[in-house]
Amino acid sequence: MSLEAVLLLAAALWCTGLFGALTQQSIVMLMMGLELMLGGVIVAAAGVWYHIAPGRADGQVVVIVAVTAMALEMAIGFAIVTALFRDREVDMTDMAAELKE
Amino acid sequence: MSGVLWALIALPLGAGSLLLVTGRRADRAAAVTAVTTMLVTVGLAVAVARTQPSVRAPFLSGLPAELTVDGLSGLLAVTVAAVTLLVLAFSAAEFGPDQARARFYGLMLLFAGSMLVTVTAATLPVLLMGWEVMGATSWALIGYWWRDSERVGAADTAFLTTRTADLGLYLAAGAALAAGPTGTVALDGLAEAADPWRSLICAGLIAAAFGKSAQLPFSFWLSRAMAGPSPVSALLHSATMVVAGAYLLLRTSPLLEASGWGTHVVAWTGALTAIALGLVALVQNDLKQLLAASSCAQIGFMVLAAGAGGITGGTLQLIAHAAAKSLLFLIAGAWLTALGTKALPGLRGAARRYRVAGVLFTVGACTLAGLPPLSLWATKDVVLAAALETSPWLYAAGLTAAVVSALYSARAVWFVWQPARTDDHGLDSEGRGTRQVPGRVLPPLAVLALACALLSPLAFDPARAAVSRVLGAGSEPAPHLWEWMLSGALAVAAASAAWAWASRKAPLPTRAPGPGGPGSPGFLGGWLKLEKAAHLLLVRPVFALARTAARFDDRVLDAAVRGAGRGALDLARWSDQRLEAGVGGSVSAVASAGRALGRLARRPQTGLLHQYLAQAVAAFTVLALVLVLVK
Repeated sequence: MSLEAVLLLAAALWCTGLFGALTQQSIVMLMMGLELMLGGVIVAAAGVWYHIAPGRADGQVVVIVAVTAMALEMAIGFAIVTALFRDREVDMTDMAAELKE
Repeated sequence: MSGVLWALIALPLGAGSLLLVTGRRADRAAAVTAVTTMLVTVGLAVAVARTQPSVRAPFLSGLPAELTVDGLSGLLAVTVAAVTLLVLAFSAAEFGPDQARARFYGLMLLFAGSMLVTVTAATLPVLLMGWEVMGATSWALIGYWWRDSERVGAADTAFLTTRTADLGLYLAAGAALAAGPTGTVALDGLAEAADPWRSLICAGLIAAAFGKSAQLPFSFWLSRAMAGPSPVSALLHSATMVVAGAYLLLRTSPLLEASGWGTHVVAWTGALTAIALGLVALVQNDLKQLLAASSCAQIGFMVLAAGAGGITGGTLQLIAHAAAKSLLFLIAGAWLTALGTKALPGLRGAARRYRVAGVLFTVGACTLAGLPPLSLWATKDVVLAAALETSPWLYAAGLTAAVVSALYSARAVWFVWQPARTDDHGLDSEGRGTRQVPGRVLPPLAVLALACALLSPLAFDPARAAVSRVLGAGSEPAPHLWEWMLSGALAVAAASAAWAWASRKAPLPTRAPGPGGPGSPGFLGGWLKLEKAAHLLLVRPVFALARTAARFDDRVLDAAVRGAGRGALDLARWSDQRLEAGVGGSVSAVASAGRALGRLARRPQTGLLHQYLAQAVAAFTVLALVLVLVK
């Protein structure tokens, strides 16, 4: 698999994620869009490491840090969404206009 | 010698001003100061009359202030100073310690000084200054008891009347200036002015002289002026102020001659005043009013003399009358102090109570009556001789006036020599009397009475010719023997007739005059109703004019000002409502439109990403459409 193909895949993932992030009103779907975008970034970073500087560990570390950040982010995001839903039955962005207690 | 003339003017004026400025602190020394001042002034007056100096001082550009003493001025200066001295000597007893004596004597000295300026002035401006100060001090003297509004009103009447007539003097001075070279404001040069101006000068001088001298139609002020203290009447209304007009006419007789009409006007006004005011005096029930009316009448003779060109006669009449009338006024004042009344019925027997004063009064009254051999009989004939030269009618009028003066004088004498009442009926109508005529006041009265008798020879040659020479008068007609006889006989007959008539029945109601006006309210008793006429013809129209002007001021000028204010307020209100509302409304509209636009602009700003995307898509779609359509 060549670098171009990997970058194309990453771009497609990222674009799909961006579309989702921009269009979806459901918080869950929106976060899935964000995950797809991060996924695209991770794929691009992994592809660039694998094809351009395979001998070095830096790239691997970057990919792992990004995966960790994504996981943390998702965990926190879903925790907030779950709390919101439990508290006010909110699952759409329009309904979460006010965050104050 | 010019220093003496300056001193003559400066001494009484300076001493008078000093007394006035010092005020009540100088009360104790006032009488002594004033009498001493006048003693010195008499000496100075005699000195200037002998040396006849002339002085000038720079005054206006091209119009120096000039004082000149010629024969007429000299005689008058001596007369004025002497009478003032005697009146002041009398006044020392008249004013008690409770009166403001410094003010009285100060004003009297100022008055005498301004009269001396008047008689020595050689140019119109200086004459005017003396004339005006005289008027002002006369006002203050007549209103001396200023707490009494009646007296102050009398002073106002006297001052305003004379002052109105004085405007003639300003007219004359203006006309003299307009007539040509500046030398013509000299009194001697007035006759040389060109004609329209000459008539104006003449008319102005005549008006001013008639006003000051209380000739018809101005006589009424003298009646009111009797509200002043008796010494004031004795000085102002016998020897000084009221004769100033006659003096002016005597002084400017060449001008009267030159004008062509002045002599007739002056002579006939004098004759008419002498007759009419003599009749007024005949029915007065108040001694001071009688004397005042008689002053007008006797000054009428001097004015007649000025009109008929009898300068010598007029001057002699002036001097003799000054002595007699000031004597009578002073005695009337002494009786007023003693008996508290000046009504003739109340004065019945006054001469028997106070013999010396009574005899002196009789001397004065007989002089006034023109009984021979007293002085006014003699001087009046010199006047009448000049009148006869002019026209027999004028002579007849003068003789009639002489008869009338005998009548009223005799009537006054009759009253005071009646048997005295035992009770005090009719006394103290003016205030509580002291019931005594102090011996101190008699010497000055005696001197005046002596003068009444001793002035007679001046009217006979050669003394008369000497006086004429001194006065610089030309050859004036001397009275014939028959004239002396006729006037003397007429006076004696008239006086006897009056005495007999008065003894037969009381000629007049014997009630004392009420306050505020002459006693008998008839046409003659009320001074020919001249004051009413003046009120009707002059005072009321002037007040009406003033009221009209005030109304015009209120309704037009003030209204315009107020209207401008109201208009400005209305304009402000209107602009507030209309313009300001418009401007404010548009500003508010802009603001609310801005707010509305803001609200509109906030509506898409939801913070929701998908909505932004939808907006962007819509916008880009529109853009794409536009691009496509434009291309």
